[in-house]
Amino acid sequence: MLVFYLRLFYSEQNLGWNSEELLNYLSWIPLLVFIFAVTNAAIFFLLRRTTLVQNHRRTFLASSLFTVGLMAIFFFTAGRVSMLPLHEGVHEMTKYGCCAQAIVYPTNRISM
Amino acid sequence: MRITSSVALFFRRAPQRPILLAFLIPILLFLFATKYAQIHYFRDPTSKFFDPSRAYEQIYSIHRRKESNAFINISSTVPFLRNSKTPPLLCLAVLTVRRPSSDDYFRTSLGSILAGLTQHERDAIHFVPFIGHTNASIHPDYGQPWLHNLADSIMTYNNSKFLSDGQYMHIQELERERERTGIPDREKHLFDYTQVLKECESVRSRYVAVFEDDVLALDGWFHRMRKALQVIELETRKQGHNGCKSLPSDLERFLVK
Repeated sequence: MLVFYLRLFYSEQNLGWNSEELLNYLSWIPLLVFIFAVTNAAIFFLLRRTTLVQNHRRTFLASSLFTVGLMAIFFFTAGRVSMLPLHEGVHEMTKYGCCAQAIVYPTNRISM
Repeated sequence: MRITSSVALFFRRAPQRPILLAFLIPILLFLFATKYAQIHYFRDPTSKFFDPSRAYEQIYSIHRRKESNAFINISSTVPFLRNSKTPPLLCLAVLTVRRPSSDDYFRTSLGSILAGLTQHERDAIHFVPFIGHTNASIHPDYGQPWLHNLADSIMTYNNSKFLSDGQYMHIQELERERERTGIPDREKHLFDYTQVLKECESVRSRYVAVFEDDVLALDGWFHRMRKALQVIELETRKQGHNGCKSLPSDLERFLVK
């Protein structure tokens, strides 16, 4: 017995950020911070001999955090469909369903 | 010269005031990113950079509509029907009614569904448009030669096998009410839907698809849908066998991109 139906249409409108999934999004932050930490470490390493870096470590740290913040703002304002697009193919959609213009059912679901 | 020297001056002084640079550069990058987003994400309704004035510009839709209309024109003389005795993979029903505004989306919708299919693909589909009127001739496309050349059978409330006399009268009543109020009726739509589901059940296809008459199908929708169904069945079976994850009690819903 197959229990599903397939929508052929969807609307990006329903695929935005949802406050219910906030914890899910927050779990991305460590990764984001890690990427920036690595990038910054690389820059520090390259510039380690310069007096610029040696004299202003704190400024650079603050700047890094500031950048992470700006990137986070950009990530969320840029929109979910642009930042985390759906890959091509079929997707499970147990929540936020919409769009009944074209639906495919297995025939064994419609016994009357 | 002047500009380069002032830039040079700025960079000579910058090491003394790195705090400026340290915050100026991220802000500049942010502004660049914003500019990039305005250029590239204006079609994304989940984005703050969504721009309705540009987002709804049709590019592929116009192209596909042309293909569809060309296909319908050819179909006035050339039939494109299912040519197979085995039960079809898909029973495809399209629900259509006459619009009070006399807009006719049905013709283009129907064309876009079938245009570009191979004969092999066409053989896998039993195609039944359903004209949801007790007097089907009021529909602008009823009796058109292309409709007969494309539909494996045409359903109306006149030739329905699944309707009692009482129900027929009730449909007429609902139609009159629609005529009077001009509001599409939910109950009538449910009747339409039930009719095609019953018809499709009798065809013994593996799947049943119900389309509205105001859609535009992209070229290649059928093979994508078939692939999606294979993926879903495989996943469903896998979950069933392992017993690790039981199926949810309600329907699982999927969408195809």
